[in-house]
Amino acid sequence: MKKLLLIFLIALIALASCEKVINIDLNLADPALVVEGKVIKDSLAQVLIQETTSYFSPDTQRCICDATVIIQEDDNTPDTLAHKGNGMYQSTSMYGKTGSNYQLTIIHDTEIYEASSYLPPEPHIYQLTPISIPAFGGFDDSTGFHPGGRMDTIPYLIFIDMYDDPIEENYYLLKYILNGEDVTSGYATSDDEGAENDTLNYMRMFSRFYLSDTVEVKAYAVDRGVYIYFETLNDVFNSNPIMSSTPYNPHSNISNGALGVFSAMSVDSKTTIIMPALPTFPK
Amino acid sequence: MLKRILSILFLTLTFVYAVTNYSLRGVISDASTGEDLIGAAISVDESSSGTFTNSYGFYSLTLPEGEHQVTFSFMGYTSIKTEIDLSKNSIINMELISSVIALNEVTVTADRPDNNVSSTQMSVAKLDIKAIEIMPVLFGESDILKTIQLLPGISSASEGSTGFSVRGGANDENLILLDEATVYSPSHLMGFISVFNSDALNDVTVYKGGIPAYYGGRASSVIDVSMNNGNNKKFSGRAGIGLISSRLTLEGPIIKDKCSFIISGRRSYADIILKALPLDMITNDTQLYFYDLNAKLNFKLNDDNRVFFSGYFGEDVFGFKDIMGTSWGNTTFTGRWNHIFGNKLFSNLSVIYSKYDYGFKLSDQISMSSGIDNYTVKEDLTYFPNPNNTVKMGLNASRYKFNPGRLITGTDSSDFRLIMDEQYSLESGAYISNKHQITPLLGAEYGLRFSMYDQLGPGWIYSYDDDNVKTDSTWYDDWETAQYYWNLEPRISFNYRLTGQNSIKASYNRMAQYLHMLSNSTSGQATDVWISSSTLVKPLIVDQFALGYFHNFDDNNIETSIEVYYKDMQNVSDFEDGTNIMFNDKIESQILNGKGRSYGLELYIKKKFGKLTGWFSYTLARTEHQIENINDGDWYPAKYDRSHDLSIVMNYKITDRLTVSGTWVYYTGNAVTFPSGQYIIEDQVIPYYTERNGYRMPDYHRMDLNFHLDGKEHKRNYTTAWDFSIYNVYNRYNAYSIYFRESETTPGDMEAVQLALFGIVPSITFNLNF
Repeated sequence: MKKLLLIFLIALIALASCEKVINIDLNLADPALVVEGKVIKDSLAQVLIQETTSYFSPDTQRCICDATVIIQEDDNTPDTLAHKGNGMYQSTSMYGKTGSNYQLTIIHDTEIYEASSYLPPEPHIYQLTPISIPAFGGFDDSTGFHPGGRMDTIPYLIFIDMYDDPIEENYYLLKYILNGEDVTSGYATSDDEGAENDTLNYMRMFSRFYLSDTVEVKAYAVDRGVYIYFETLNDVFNSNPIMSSTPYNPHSNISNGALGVFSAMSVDSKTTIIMPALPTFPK
Repeated sequence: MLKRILSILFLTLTFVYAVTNYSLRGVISDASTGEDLIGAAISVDESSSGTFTNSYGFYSLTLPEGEHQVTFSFMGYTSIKTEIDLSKNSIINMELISSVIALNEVTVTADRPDNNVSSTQMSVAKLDIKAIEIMPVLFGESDILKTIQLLPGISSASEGSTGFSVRGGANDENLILLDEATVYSPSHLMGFISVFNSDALNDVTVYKGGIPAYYGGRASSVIDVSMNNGNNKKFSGRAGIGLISSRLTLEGPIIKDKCSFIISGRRSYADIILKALPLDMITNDTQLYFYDLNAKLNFKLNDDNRVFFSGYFGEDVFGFKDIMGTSWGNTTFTGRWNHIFGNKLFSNLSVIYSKYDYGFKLSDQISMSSGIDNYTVKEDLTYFPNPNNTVKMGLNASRYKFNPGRLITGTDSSDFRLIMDEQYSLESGAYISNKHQITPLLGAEYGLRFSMYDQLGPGWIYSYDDDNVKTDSTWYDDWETAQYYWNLEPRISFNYRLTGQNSIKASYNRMAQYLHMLSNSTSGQATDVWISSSTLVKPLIVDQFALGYFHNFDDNNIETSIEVYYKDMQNVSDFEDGTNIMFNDKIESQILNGKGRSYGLELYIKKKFGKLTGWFSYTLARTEHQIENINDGDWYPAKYDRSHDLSIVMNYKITDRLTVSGTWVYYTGNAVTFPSGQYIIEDQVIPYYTERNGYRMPDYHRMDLNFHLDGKEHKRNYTTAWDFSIYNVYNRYNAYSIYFRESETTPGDMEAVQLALFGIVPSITFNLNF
């Protein structure tokens, strides 16, 4: 039996999978235009234009400084954005307004790239409810099993209740900010399929918090094209090496093969501090 | 085309006889165990005429009145030649004695010594279960699904996996049958070990082309596995202790020569061993095991009637009691009644149940499940009009229930739950085929299968717009057809004998597949979900053409073959970018259909007898898909496309007791998508992809060894054997996957990281036969 145990242990060690940094020759794709355009309510419209670079050893200088960037709000006079440096173009007069459509036109190297985005009405967060999940942690040492989260404390999820106009199809981006820093890069996304009457209840399973954390939640209302961009962007990021689907480029709302997104958005935010003696999941 | 086939078919049935003919029929079995011998040959008067036993060991021949010399033979058994004076319809049940020499030889195919040359069937392999047991394998668990991956045209899905691709087909295009029941997920332990416990098995036949009309429902291949019937002569048993699991098989007669049983179990014991170790991590609450149970009962009522009941039950369990747990497994049940009408018509009626389910539970707060089950009734007839024709025909119907997934939180009905609609369907079919020796040199097997598929209520059927938003829904009642599909599937193969030891074969088959597996991996995972063809998901249809040249040397000791094939696929599917497979109630609208093609060349050389046996197999192939919206609509390589795939299997019998076996495999890496650039959005580095599956994983190669040592002969009634196996002898870290991350040494730069699963894995297995 002892021998068998030994063999089993050897097998276990052998089983422990092995990671190694390797060299791969990757093709160098022709540079493609990368656009990050934003028209946020009450902020000046701005567009950052760069280009793709080599995968392994990226150039630090990749901005496009000689493009013509024009944004038109509804049928108003188009506004040409001024280049501020490092590929950043900014309007001097155009502030985001809810209910407006924005049309972006970029001219670069005789190519024309176009996108449009609608700035939806402001979202409204009613309340944030932190709920503890004992099953995700808080085991004593006898079980020693800690599926996710810190070992010693019970994690909390934050449930967000927000207003959702039941007549319109609405799309949201969400950001959790913990003690002043973004918890996740990019945005969490939600459509309004889960909404009941005029309330959407949203919870992100993988964002967990602990007692006395100060958490700010920002909710952005966006149109469908922007939502799809960030949803596919998250998918590209959350893929794991063993069971991921075939990788792809996030679905951009910009024409002519440009990467990135042009998003008009309005925002609301709310802050909570996680206190003891809160209700336990399920509610 | 159809008309012509039917007319040939009818022509062959209307033979006119000038002399009085009588039938000779019976069952051929193993003399020591009474086990049916499947595919044993009965040849008459040393001519090419004769027949083979069917999957119940039954044969029937019609011969002219008078004296005949009949030879009964089966690979690994001593042939019996006998004189028969046929003056009336006769029954001869023959028991063949296993020849000692053959016991430790690896044999794949061949029942008659020259079967690979003489039979009409091409692109087929028959595995000898005894031979599989001495093959080196991962963890020492002998495994039919791993052994077939060493054959030409069959490639493993990934390292150590029981998943496989046959001639450019996906993993879900393989029909895996255990005593006629479909096995939906044939693996344990994340796919590393198959559900087939070799101790319980009698016969394994693999069809990768020229698939007979008898089989239907999957597009690429058929793996037909039959269980042992149980020794009807004496009580016996087998036991094995391995690194991962232990096995015990008991079999014996209930009424000698009339009724026998077999029960075979296997259980892994990682949890038991781990509990014995001083690890904090493992407690009595830890559950980590899999088990299998195979059982079969068979009754021989009389020469004309036999009844069989067989079942399989297996499960993987992983969890911590009361905290979380996940389990998955297959259940199958088959009840069969063999009846012989007159002397020439063999009938089999089967009732089959099969199920796969997956479950996950996190205390009583979250539970998930998915699965599929089906009930089948089928009737198959084999008619033996004369020695040159064997006609098969049959009907079948299967009712499926699909549970694509449900997620339930809490215990109260007001808690959050996501329940995807169950799907129901009926798959039915009828077929007729004839195995026809047209001239002594030209043989053919031609048939037609008519398959039908009804997607049934109860349930909602939805339609979607381009943005995958539901636009319309229609309610269908119980058993009401929501979508109907049908296909005519011709199956034809020819064999032309050139001279004694070589032949040319050609085949064509069309296969239709109405069930689809949703999976993110190529190899198959416990969480994979089966769904039905529907209004939006079209059945997969594959046409395959194959041509082969077969040549035997050295008195059939060395078999060689070269085959080429071309496959045309309609409605191959892939997902839209970013499709979430689990709990996605819109998944139907996100499946994209397109075209596929696969072509290849397969070489096979095998040595069957002597101290050194084994085979060499090589496949050169290409598999591509073309799907709108993927890769700009251009052809791109399928994930499981492999240019080169080489396997060498060698067994050398050093002494009477010691056999060493080695395998070496080499194959081109799978097609993968890697980035060809990068950019930054929201301060995140984002990979830029320019083409689908445009890169290759590194080439894979690995050598395994096994030392099989038979115990010294004991006077008592038992024998022992040891197997020492080494997987990945030269400890090569083959790439299982490659991913990219920011460099730890040069921040800002990216680096590629290769993940390997197994280095060298030694194992030991002890076997006992009593």
